[in-house]
Amino acid sequence: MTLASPLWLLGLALLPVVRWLHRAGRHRRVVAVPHLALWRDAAVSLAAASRRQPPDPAWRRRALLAALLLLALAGPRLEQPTQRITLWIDDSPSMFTREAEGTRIAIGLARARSLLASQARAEVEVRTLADPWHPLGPLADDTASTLAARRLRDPPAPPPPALLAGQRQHWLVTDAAHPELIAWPGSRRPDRVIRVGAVTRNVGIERLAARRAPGERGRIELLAKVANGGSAVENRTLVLIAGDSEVSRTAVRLDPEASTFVSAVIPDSNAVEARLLPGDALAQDDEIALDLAPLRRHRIAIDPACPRTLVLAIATHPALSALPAGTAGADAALDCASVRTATPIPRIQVRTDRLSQPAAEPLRWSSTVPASQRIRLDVDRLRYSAPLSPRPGDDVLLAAGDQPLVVRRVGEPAVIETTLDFGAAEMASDAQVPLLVNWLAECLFDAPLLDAIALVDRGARSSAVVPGPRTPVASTAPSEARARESRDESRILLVLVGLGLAWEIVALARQWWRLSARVDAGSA
Amino acid sequence: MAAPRLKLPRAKPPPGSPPARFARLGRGLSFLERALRIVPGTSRASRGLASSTGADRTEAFVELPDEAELRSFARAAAQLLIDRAPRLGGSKAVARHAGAGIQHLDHRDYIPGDEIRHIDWRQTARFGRALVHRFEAETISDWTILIDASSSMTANGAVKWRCAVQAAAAMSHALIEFGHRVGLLAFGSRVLARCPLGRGQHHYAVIARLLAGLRPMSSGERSALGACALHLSGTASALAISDFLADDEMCFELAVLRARCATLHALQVSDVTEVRLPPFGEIELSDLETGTRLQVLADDRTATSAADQRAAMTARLRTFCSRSGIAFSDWEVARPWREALIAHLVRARSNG
Repeated sequence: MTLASPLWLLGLALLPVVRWLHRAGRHRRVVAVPHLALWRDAAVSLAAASRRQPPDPAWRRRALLAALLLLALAGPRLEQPTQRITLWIDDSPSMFTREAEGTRIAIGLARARSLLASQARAEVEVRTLADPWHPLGPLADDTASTLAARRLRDPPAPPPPALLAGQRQHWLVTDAAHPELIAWPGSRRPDRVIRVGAVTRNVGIERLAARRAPGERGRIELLAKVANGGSAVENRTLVLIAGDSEVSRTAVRLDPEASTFVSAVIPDSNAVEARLLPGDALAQDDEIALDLAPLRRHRIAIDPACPRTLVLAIATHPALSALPAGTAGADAALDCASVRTATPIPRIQVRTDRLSQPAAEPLRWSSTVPASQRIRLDVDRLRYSAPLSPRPGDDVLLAAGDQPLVVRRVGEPAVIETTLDFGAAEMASDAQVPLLVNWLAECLFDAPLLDAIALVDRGARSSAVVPGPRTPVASTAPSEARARESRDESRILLVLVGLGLAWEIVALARQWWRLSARVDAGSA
Repeated sequence: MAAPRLKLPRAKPPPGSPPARFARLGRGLSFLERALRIVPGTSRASRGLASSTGADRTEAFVELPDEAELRSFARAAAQLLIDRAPRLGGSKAVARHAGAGIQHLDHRDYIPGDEIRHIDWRQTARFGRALVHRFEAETISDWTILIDASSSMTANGAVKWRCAVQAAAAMSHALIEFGHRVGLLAFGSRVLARCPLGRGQHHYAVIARLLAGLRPMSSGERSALGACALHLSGTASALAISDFLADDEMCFELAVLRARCATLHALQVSDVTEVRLPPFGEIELSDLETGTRLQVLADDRTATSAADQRAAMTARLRTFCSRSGIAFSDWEVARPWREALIAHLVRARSNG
């Protein structure tokens, strides 16, 4: 039993005061008389008269009430042995391998449930290794389905040290296919490991990547990594599907724990899917889908008044495609002051309303432009045709001395305004114009446009399904690691003390009433 | 010569009041101030007891009888207090003794050693030999009032003490009124206050002041009547006012006093209500004088038993006094002091 406020127990030292207060009780009521011999015949007991009278026996009852009150105020708490268990679920892909009785994760949860059923008072909290900070609550029947439906971005990892509290037992449900998940921090080991899994064969797609084919405009290069996570040699066929049509079929032979890469070039598409045939126990890694939207070209509506050099630079850019001005669905516009687009879309505005003049002074880059994006420009070949006046909030990205050349206007949609004269003869055949156009486009879309890659990576050994060796558990016996649950008992004591005090008050009131009646009768 | 009219305070102020307060009482009281100053022993005794204002002393003021009551009582008791008055029928002469005094008795021949100032030159010339005055012995008219100031007198609201003080004041005034010398002794376990013998109205003022200033202890003061014996002359008359609550009803001490004085009066002050107990059932009694405690069960039978004990004590004391020649009376405090004193004096005279 523990006490919430043990300082109240110091009040027990005052219990002798209760006895002292009762020293002049009913037996010590003293009446002064002029001569004691007049009442000598009425003496009750000479022996009793000569010795010191004991206090009112009620002092014991009232002292007991005071002691109970102090004990109740001290907040006694009865501790009851309770097991607090954190059930860690290894939610790596291999745990979804289908066994004869179901998936490994379902089998592990069923075993955990059967083990917990033998625990009399167990408080179970389910957590996953991939998302340890969000508990799933107590172990329930739908825990397995909940885990299967989750889409996690982070791979599983050992539990963080902060969650490995010493007052809880930590059980782990795993197939031990990934040894790194059992290497817990601080040499901590699970108190109990529920090891599941018997299937040892699996081939999976670990990664699928796509990029634009550098030499073929309108085509996409794919690269798939196929790994054998089992313990036997496997033969599979990798089928690539773009849209609704199969675009590639490749046969692979993989030794145990070996992997291979399969590449293909497919036409431009919105998505691509890779499948392994035939399927195996872990169906999740037999197919993989890749969204190719990041590789799609940005469509630029070109103002007919724009210089040809500029239009060609956009048309030949691998991530940009030129559209006629006014075409719906354009991602941005190239505005050379002849066409005004009705819809507010990002645009590059080229100011050419003045005579061209050389940028004689050194170039200055804005601090917001990272060094990797600052292209080497020959200032002698640059021409500008109109002065730019930056407004408050604008960002001067490039300037020649004090003359702004490229300005990012504040507000939405994004507007990049430049006064570079791409139509000048000095810049018409300049090789740095495509670089300037790419830089302007990257500033407009605020993203790198060259060498974009679309990727789905399940991580190394994501296909490994072979159960590992038996995992050692913590040396601490489960009984010693039991947490203790305390229960507040002060309310019971307070009720008892309250009843006792009420009884005392009623008794005192009755005594007072009787004495008053007797005194009145005596006076009469 | 008429005695000066006195106007004494009905309720005495707290002890230690300045004599100037008396000056406000009238021109005739100026001699009282002188009297108080010329009796240093008396005033010291009075101050010694009266200035004591401890919490265990009785705080109630005693209301002394006023002058009209005193004079009325003196007139009523005149025939009872004048010892030289001839008895009715003239059958018995008044016994007179020669001694130191102021009242002329007769003459005798001068012998060496007599006071020259006592020679009666007129008779000497007439008879041709030296004759000296002889005076009536004054000791026969000396009275000492013994008042019990023990703690038992303070029981039940000190009603016995108030009655005793009133009786002592009335007796003192009446005796002084008729030319007696009166002294006062307040006794507890010892003589607590003493006023020596004196006569005259100024002396009554001294006694009244002493009585008004007395504050008996509410507990712990025992009764030792015998302590007064040393202060009595062999020929004095004494009046002991007490409740005589003692194991032997103070019989032994009364016998001692009887041997030290010519006549002894014992006036017992009793209070029937002091034997009543609160209806508490089992209680503890505490003796006011000794502090001894006794556990009793208070009921009607207890009260009856105590009253019987008190009556038995009174009967034993009365028997002893009758055998010892002590004039005894039992004064229940419910009776007025005037009636009780007259009854006592009548009884004493008839027995004498």
